[in-house]
Amino acid sequence: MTKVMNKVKSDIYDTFLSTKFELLKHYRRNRIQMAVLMAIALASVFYLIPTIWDIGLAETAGDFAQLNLGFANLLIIISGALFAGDIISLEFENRTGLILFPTPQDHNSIFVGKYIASVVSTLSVLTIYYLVTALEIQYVYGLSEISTEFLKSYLFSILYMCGAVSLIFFFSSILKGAITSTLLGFFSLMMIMPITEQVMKMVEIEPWFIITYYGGLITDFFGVAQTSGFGPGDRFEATFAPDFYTGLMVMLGYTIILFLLGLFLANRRRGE
Amino acid sequence: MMPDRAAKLGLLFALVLFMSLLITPIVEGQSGGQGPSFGPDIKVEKLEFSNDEPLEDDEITINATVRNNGSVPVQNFTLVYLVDNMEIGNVSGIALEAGESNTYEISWDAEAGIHNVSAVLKYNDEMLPESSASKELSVEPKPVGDVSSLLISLGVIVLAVILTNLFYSVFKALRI
Repeated sequence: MTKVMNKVKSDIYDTFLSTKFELLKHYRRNRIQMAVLMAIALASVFYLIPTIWDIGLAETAGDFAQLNLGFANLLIIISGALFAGDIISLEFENRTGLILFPTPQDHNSIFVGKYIASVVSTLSVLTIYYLVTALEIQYVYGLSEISTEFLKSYLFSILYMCGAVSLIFFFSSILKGAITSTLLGFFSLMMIMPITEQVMKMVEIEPWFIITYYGGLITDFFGVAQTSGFGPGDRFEATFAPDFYTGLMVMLGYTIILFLLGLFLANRRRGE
Repeated sequence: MMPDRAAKLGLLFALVLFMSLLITPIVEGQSGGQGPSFGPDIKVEKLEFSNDEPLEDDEITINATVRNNGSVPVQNFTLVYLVDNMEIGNVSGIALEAGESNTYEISWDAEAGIHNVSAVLKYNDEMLPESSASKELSVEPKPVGDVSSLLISLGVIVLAVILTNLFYSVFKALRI
């Protein structure tokens, strides 16, 4: 029993070490700084441009948040690809795994730590994006205008982010090239899935199992509705509206299944 | 002689003036002016909603009070309910005695947005726009989702990651 407890404790510590190491790596490569700057710029643009050109801001805080947070999808996809795109594949491509894997640290903890680091980095960027938007709302419309809908949008975007990061992590686990896995992760969320979604809508099949179908829910909390994810939309009339609870299940499915699959495949590849 | 003749002319002028005043309203009435109307005078007097601040998908009842202001009984009128000029239902066979009023209701599943709700009377398949009453209704969109479900979902993800690590450690420790 003591042996099991010691092993569990040691693995938890290893996971913590691996997470810390990966976060430092992202920081040293200036990835975190770049993503944070991008988040601040994206969140500020909808306040600064109308203010500088004196064209007036949105009438209500809800409309402002809806407009501003419409880019949360894009930010999640870019940050996810940036932090998780090459997280496993790079170790195999650069053969750095040959140094990393023979260490006494458990391999599973290394992979879990890498996944947690990707999630934490993307979450930080997303949180900064929401924080800047909240500050703008507080400044323009008052603190009372930051509603429960804003909190719901934030929590849902975290779920969406977990699903997106798990998908990119999965691609990173199965592909050999770092650029290939990053690009595949990015384009699958940016183009492949939204196009598939639109084609399915055209043939009147609800694309309920596609993660990007629920991307639009991030802003649907603020009222108006029925947008579906980022991508080449609006060309065809939307005949379906994403359901919130189905969305939660799909996000959970993507996050957990793809994380476990990615972990299993990464562990298997380690032996190659 | 002269004053007598002047008095007669004055009397004649007064008579013509009186007659013209007497005749004018009748002529105007016949030519469709402001004179009294003899047709049925029935209209939607009041339009009310069971809930003035409904949410999307709420079932609201639209009450329309119809009054017969005329002096004769009316029958076979149809009350048509419209939302943004689209018919959502009707009540047919309306019959009211002179001076009588009655309230008719219909249910409607509210759709999000600002709507113009109106009720208009129809007789012999012909709408009577002058009988209508309308009112604006703002329907708030239904709140999407809830915070507790989101928090539970996030908790499940955190738990899944922790348990994966934990089970793997236990499994490995037992195997060793």
